[in-house]
Amino acid sequence: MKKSVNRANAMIVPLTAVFVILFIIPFLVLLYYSFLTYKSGQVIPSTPYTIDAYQKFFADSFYPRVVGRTIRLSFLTAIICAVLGYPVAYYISKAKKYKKTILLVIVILPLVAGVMVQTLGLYGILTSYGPINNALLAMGIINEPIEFLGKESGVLIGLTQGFLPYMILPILTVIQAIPENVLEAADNLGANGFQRFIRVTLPLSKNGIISGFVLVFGCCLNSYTTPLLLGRGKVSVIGTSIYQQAMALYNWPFASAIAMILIALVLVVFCVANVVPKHMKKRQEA
Amino acid sequence: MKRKQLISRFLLAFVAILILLFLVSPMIAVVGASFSDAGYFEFPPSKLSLHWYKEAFSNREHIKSLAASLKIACTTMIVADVLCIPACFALTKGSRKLVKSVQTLFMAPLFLPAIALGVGLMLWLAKLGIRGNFWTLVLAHVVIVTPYYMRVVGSCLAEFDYGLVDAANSLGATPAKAFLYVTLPQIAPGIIVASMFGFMLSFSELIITLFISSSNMITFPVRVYSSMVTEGLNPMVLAYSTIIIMVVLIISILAEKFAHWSKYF
Repeated sequence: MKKSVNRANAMIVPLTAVFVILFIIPFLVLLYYSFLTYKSGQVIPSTPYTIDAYQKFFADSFYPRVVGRTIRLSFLTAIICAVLGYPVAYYISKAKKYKKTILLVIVILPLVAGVMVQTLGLYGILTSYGPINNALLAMGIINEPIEFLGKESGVLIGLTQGFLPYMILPILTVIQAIPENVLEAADNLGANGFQRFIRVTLPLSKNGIISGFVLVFGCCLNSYTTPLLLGRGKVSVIGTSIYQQAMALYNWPFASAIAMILIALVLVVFCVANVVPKHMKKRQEA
Repeated sequence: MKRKQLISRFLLAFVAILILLFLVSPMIAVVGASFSDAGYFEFPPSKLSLHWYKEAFSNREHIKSLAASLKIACTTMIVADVLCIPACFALTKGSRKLVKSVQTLFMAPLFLPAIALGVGLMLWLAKLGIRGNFWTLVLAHVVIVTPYYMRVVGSCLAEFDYGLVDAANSLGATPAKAFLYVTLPQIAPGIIVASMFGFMLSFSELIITLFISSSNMITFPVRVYSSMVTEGLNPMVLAYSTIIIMVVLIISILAEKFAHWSKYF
């Protein structure tokens, strides 16, 4: 018994080593850099360590507003995804084998094709000479093209399209986990389709909605490519700020500080997501 | 009452399909516009031509980046197979405490921001004096892809019946033979699905690669991103993207047909 446990532990070692070197240590390096000084274009490795970078973050309202904007966009995206994703998940759950396969391939395709392809396509669709504006102009609904690119609306659309699968899949899993006999029981007790949905399916699938919401919210907080390309550099979110500070201004300490704040934010979301369901369960049992 | 059911069913299908169309609209636009004759992203195309495909096949820089991406994606897939699959096994058998903490670690790349990891990796590798190394890029991709391996192979192993291995052993099979003839065939679909994910996710990976690749190893997504940021949308990129979409679509369909990957979601 012990031999197999030891062998099992050994099989984990290589991957863990890779993770320590290329995942854990980089974050520690970030933490380290966030306490360094940056003066006139150079990082001066000085002791004592300072919290200059963090102070700069809160000094004026610009960066806190960036965080606020990121949280707002993420929240909006998550809500829209929940509203759009639920019907799709429900529809897929009721589909039969062949159709379900096709639908699932469609849902997963954007994820594996990559964010670059999606952003490319959305850019072409939302641009002022793109199909949406052309159609609206032709129908006389608007007189001038609507500007989606370079505005928060475009970024919102991009984030929604990008992360919708992350909402659909958890909800689908949860809906499919509802036992048949529960639905049958509802039918036998006289519920019509609508009542059965509102009073049985929906409440039982709320965990899926919550986990999808948290997933989409977290992914949006971390997003970079979509806000940058669809916002044309004019919509600043946390991700774009980090990139700008690191790659354009070479202000590693500040970039690291922003990154640390983002990680703190994500960890808060993660903790809330894990603690709230337990709390709600306790309240229900009380 | 039956008509009411039909109407609500129709409404659900209508709404769901509309939303699904929204989901794939960018890819449809990319494919459609790649056949356009215009010098910009024109969808729907007014005049069809293969002009941009001809341009695409003769552009050395972009083809080099495609080859680089392919090389990295294949290597990532193989390395991830070698590292992650035994780790998944170990997670089913190892000591409880170790398993729990390591499992969280391996799933972490899904939650922790890639952009933070990118900056951290860049700073760390610079400190080590390693710049633009092929293997560090591959291993970084492996880290990113690990959560998907964990989920897919993990759920596959969860369904696996170890009694069969015991039966094989009691029938006189060596551990190696038992693994090859009993375990492997059962988890093969899971391995195939995970490998496909590894390959496709590594191929399309942008953010980490942006930070730690060097000028002699530009991957395709990085090149597309750079050209979009500096010169705007070049329709030639649409031709490449269409090819990629087609390849990904075919892989997805094959993965479903032969490995039923939808069961992992």
